[in-house]
Amino acid sequence: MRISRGGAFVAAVLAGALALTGCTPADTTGPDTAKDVLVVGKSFDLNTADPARSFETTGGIFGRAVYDTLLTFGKGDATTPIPMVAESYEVNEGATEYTFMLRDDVVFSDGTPLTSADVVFSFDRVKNIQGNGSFLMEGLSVTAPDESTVIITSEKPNTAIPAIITAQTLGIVNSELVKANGGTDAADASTTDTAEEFLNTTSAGSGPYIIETFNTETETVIVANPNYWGEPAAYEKIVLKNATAENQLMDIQSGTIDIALDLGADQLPAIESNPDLAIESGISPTIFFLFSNANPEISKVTSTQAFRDAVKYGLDYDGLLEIAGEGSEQVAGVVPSVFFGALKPADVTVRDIDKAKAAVAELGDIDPISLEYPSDFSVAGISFGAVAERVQANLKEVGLEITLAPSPISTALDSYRGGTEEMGLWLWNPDYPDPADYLVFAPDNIVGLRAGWTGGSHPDLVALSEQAAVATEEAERGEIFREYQLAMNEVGVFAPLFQPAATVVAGKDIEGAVFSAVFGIDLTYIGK
Amino acid sequence: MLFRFILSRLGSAAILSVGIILVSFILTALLPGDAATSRLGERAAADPEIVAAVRARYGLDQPLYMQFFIYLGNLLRGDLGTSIRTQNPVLSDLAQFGPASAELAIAATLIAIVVGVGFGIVASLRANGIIDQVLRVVSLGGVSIPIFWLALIAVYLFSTVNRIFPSSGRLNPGETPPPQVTGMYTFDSLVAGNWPLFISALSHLILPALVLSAPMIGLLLRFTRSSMLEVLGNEYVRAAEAKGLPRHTVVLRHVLRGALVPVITVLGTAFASLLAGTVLVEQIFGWPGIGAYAFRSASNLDLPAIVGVTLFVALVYITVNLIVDFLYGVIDPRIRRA
Amino acid sequence: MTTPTTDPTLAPDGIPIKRNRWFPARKRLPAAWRRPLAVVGIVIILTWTVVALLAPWVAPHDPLAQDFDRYQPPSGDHPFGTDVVGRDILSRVIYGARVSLPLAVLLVTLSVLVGATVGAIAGYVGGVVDAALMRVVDLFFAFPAIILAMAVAASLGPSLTNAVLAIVVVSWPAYARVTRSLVLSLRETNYLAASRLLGDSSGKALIKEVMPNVAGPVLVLASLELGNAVLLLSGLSFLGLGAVPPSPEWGSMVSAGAAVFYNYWVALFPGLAIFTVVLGFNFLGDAMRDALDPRSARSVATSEL
Repeated sequence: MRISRGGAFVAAVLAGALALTGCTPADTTGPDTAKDVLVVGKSFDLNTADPARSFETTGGIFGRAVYDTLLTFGKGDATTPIPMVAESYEVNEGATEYTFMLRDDVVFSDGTPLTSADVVFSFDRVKNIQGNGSFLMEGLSVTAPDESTVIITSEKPNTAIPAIITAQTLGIVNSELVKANGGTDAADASTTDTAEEFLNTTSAGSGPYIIETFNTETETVIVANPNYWGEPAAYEKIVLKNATAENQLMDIQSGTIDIALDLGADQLPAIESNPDLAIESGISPTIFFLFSNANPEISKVTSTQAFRDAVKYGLDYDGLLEIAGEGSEQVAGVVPSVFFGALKPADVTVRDIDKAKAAVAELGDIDPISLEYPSDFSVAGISFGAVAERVQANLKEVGLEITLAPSPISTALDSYRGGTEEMGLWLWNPDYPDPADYLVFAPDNIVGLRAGWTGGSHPDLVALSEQAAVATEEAERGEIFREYQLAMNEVGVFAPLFQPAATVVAGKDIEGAVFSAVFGIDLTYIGK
Repeated sequence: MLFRFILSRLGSAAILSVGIILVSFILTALLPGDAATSRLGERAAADPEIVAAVRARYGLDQPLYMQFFIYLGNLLRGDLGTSIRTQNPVLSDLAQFGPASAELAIAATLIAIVVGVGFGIVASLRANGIIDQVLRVVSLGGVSIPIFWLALIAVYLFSTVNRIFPSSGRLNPGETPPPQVTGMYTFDSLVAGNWPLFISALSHLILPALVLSAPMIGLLLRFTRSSMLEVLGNEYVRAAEAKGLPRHTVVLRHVLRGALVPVITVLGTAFASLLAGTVLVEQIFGWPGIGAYAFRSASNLDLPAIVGVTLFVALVYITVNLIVDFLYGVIDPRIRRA
Repeated sequence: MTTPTTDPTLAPDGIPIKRNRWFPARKRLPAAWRRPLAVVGIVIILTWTVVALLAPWVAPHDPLAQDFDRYQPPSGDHPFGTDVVGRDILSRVIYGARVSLPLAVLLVTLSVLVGATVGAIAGYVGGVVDAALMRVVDLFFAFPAIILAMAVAASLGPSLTNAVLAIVVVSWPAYARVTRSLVLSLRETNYLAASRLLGDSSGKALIKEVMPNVAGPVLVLASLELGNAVLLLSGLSFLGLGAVPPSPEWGSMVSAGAAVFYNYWVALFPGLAIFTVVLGFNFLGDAMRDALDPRSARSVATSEL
């Protein structure tokens, strides 16, 4: 019996091989090359298709094409929000009240018109569902005086609101449809809302695409929305395929995917001379940083100014840029260069070996310090391991002994968030495209606490960060954020390293595939 | 007699399962961090209320022994819990990824049998000749080569430089899988009569299956050869030859039966390395199977998924062993008495 | 089995001297050495051992020095090219032998010690102890090695020590089974009974009579497992669960090269190193097995005797 099975298998293989030889390689390795299907390769960090619960890049990429927001950004832009569902808006004197006037021609994928009630429902749902993106609604409340007006009120002055509402988390859902399928925006939504399962299979948005299949492991497929209120979608079907950066490199060359989103600078040389591919590079807003724990209970050594200076002046920033790859830039402060309020290139920290060695001498005899980082995580093709190894080598040159202590991300996140790492190598992705997001690095704030940094040690910095949070006038904001970052650099608990280059590699005939610092890539601009 | 045999095996399987769950729980009890909080975004994780709510949602706020008994209770009802990472019931995750690995493993095994046994027989018939020596080196090579290295070379040569085979996935992106019969795309598309889909599924399957089969080819070649030699030297074979039967008839009729024993042995014992190979091959070929699932679950400390996968793999292993022992009993009655 | 009158496995009184079948017959070893594959295997292993021992003198550069241009293809200066942070790959491959070889030996030694002890006790004492121990063996046999290793590494952090421990935990059962079945069959001979009659305690009989007879096949199995140990260790490191950077471990080097596989040299040479070492161990083990007992393939493999 076994032999005949083997025989059948051999026969099948032979038949298949014969059939394959009759086909050209393109047939067996690629999808239709017609404009009907677009295949995008992405390394998935996908959790859910429910916009209110979604706050990760991959979910945002297809969410952007499925759900509309009040405002959005133009192709490749990250500075000026433009109208979308809201055709205009006004803001009051103190930046505590924003009034949005909605378009009257927006319809959902099932044909029902979009009204202010849907906006209010969606925003309240985000607020109460206690998901990863709920913090966006912190201190905000939303009301609808009539069908085409929405007012967002903020407890404190908040000039970041136009930027915040472009987030895919605040995508507007069809409230009737969602409510009919277990959705709620009530205060206890975190336990009573059950619409996620529904939303993972059927989209309830007004965007140019709707969800066909959703899978967090293999691929997610969206198809053109037949009832779309705007310009028709450029593609019949867009496939978002889960592939590691290595696989994306192979796939883009074999034509299996049309766009690769995660290729790193080190991988580009393989395809630079490929006539069928076009490489679009931008600067990613992700910042890589190093921190030395400021809590003396964690380490008496890293919490000293001498150690911080040793690290700050001991790092070879240009050498690190080599690891980060071509197109990457050293970041001068914690606010990335693509956003308003960033420091100028002239403000970057420069290596000073003598100062570093002097600082090390002050420390005297010390045990090696452990540097923790995630071992299985890479962004834009940069592996944390390579950066960490270079950091270790740099600091060794000035006399500091560092031992590397990587662990898988779940374990590493634990010690990072618990504030127990002596030194950590991590990154920060913007929550929204505004410098206010970067106040998290201040003492007593989210990331500051992870570096063991409490307000008592640097009260002036705390004061600066509080000022920056409420400043409304643009010039004033620019000044304060500049002071804040310079003061942060002085202390040096955080040593900002670099921003990697962000590349989108696409087939030459595909238009509009550009990197967006806000969305990663905006699918709705492709093909146009 | 057969009934008692199976019953006793099922009994040990049950005890084994509980043991495995216990070990998995103890293991993950040592784990710092948990999958629930690692799913939280940076802002959410800073909010203690959200963290507490998430942990309660996944039952992680209970003491470990409570979690263990709850798990056992659920297990008896056929519920393997929900994967914290994928948000799906572990059972459905296994149902989704299991067939993918099964397809890969079966394809690799079939290739190994055809090539390994085939050449093993050839080697035994030409014992100590040049062909035999060459085949011996080949078999040792197959067992010695690091599978992850072989996979990388294979992809480079056959997918990148020469676009003969696709580099990743089970189907071309956007292609709809055939209607579910077994979950194995090649088989299911044949059943559905969908020839182009079958070709696509097959072309995706060949390279990873070939790579995965390498160590098994090596083992099978070697064991078949030595077992064949042993049987060929036996009196009853020589007697058959003396009776005037042509050699190939002797080989087919008398010898193959005895030679099947090592094949079955190898298949039973090679399972563990097959699993390890599967994890590596699936990783490199982007094959969405149990190996990749296990790796991601372990990395993410996803307790229900880890326990579920471990249980699943262990049960498959026990079943394979059961079949192997049973086949032994059928083929060689002398062993049954042990 | 046939019983010709001049069967060397029979004592003059016709009782099979099972002992001789397994005891490493010294006069047979030179025959093994005459086999070409064994010689090749020995040469390979010896070369690598020498390389490992003399690494500081053989390697052209410091394996940790990031002094050179990154991703240089193989050239006169760097025969194996340079890696992601500009280190010389040849030096790293050479120093890698210092990581893989001793750890593989350690791994197998530990597995043998634990496994043989458990198996010997089970086989010798028998009864409830035997049944209980064998259930434990079954448990560990069924437990998927790689998942255990992944979980251990994920929780305790990747390190070669943890990887070795994880692999030992899942490797010892094989030796336990083999030892137990060997001990069981030995029990049936007269030698143990004779030794007890002469006044030896159980323990002494165990050591004097059992161990030497068990050593042979166990050593054969161990030598075959050395190659496997290298593969498992490098496999775990490839997944990021073993060696920690900047350690020049071959598996992790292949992993680093996978992302930039068109810079073929980064993954090619470390993988080649693994291949040759494992090949050497397997050539050697294979030849040993042939020389000591052509039938041991079957007796070792059948698990339920």
